Amino acid sequence: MTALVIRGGHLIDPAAGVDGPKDILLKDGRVAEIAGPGKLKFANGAAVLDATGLTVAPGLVDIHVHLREPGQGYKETIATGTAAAAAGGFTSVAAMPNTRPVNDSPEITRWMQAPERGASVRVFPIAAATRGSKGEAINDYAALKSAGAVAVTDDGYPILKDNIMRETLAAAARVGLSVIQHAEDTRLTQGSSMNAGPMAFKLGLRGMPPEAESGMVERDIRLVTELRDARVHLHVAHTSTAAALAAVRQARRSGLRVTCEVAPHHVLLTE
Amino acid sequence: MNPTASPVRRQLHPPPVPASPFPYNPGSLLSASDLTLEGISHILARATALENQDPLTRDRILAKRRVALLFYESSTRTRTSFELAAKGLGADTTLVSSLSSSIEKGESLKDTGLTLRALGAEAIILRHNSSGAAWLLEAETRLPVLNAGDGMHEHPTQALLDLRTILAHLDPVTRTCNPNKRPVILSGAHFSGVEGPASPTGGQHTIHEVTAETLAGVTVSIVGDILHSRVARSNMLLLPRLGARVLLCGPKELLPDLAANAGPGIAIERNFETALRQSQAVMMLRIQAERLAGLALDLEQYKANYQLTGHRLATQAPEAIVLHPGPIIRGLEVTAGVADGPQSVILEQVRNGVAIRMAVVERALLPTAGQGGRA
Repeated sequence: MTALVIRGGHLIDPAAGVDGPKDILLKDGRVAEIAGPGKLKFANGAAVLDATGLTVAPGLVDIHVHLREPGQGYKETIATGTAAAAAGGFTSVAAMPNTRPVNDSPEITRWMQAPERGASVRVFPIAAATRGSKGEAINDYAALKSAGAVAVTDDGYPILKDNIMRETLAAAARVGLSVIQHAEDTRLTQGSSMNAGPMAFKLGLRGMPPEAESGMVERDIRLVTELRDARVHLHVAHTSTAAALAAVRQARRSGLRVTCEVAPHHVLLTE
Repeated sequence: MNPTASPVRRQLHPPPVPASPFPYNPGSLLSASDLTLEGISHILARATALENQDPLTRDRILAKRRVALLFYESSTRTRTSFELAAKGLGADTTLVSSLSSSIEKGESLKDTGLTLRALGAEAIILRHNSSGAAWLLEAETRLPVLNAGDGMHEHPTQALLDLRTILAHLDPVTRTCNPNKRPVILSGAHFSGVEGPASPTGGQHTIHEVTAETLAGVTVSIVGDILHSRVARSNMLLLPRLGARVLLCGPKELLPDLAANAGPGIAIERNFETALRQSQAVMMLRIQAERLAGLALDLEQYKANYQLTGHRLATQAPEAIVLHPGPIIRGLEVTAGVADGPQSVILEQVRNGVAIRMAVVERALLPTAGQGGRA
């Protein structure tokens, strides 16, 4: 039996409602006991890790990463991306499918999880919702799920067409996969590089109107409402507008399975 | 981290915004707002002095210094006047344009800039189709960079030459004018016209020392495709700092309401006649077809509302000067009659471009020449 004590740290475990100074005893890689500072009793042979001034937390999960493999290893590989994740305390990452080729097949989904990729943390592939992420024809979600996909998305691009998005939501719900939408009406954001507003005007940059995101989120929520009985789960990627967030909140209030995520730069970088 | 404080609930305070690190090089001119009033005055004074100097002594000022012109977009006026300006001061110039260079093969702006620097370029004059390109080039090369137009963003030398043109027509007697009195500043007698001299003596009519009051009481209307215009942006940043009121005029598709928030002294007037009636100077802009990005525009409707015709000018602004940064699309934003008419100062602007650019190139390469600070 190996024992490890992590002492002096600040423990954060939202699922258990813990947020305070705690010492932790691990036995055989599992948490055996949590106690207040200095309160832990442990055998003399235990290894002790001094975490004074550090945050201690369960392995973090990032559900939106781009590992760029296959095809764009010059940007990032599964090995380098997951090494960075491990360095930041992330033990699970969900990898987006906008690779080259697009991850729209069970073969690529399996390839990404193969031991040869050298991943440092768990990799959960997210498969493309449509063939080549072109937004035209939906993929075989049952096959993708059995290959290990945890969700479907065309991230990088939106699923623009109403009928394709409806079909995607329904088919994904049938096999128990979540649908992640890159909510950006690209018909309104051509050539844009920031949010529309006085600063974009001043900088001579094309701005994206908030409706480009919120309009699509509202459309998707309408579709989820229509498919209410199908137990659809819609997840809105990188939410950046107040209107989209309000729509998600409203949908959740009415009992729909709608979630969203935010990115640090959308919260911290303002005009 | 303080272990007793909850890092989760800790308020995130963004760090204070640092003062802009740009420009890195004091000889650069990236934005019209980089210049102090003192700096503007210096450029205006040097423009006149250089214009009046004997070309045979003038070309010793920058003899054999190396200036590169790097042009990613086509240009007639700006490129030629920068080139003539640099050559007029004795500098060697070389032109690199996106066609017929390694840019075509995929070389980046950074690498092209570093290559030019390695070839001995001491300053780079850049025109680029991306907003902000001049800032990037300056940060990478640390050379003086003169922004000759970046995307839809800025074109500071155009604003300076427009200012010089307006000042040449400003009545020197009333220029310290009472803002409540309608200023009689642009007397027809001062119009030098197409063939007229570009006030070669510098003359008592030309103002060089500008203050925050120099253009007090003056209204300049900028009309047309404001959204895509770097000329409009540089002018709306520059002219109000000298006291001018800038009226932006155009349809919503080409002039969003939020343009009025771009800075102080800027207002929107959608009605062209109303704008004209208040203006001492009218700056007409071309519709930038290459930047419309799919925007469909009813040109007949546009002409009906915003074309500067002889009739509009005669009835609404018979004493105003008419500016245009070029290229003119005759029969679209202006009629041929107005472009060639007595109120047009369009070719005078072009002439002023050479003088202003001589001053700006000199400032780039001789940054100790008492240029005045920057903002």
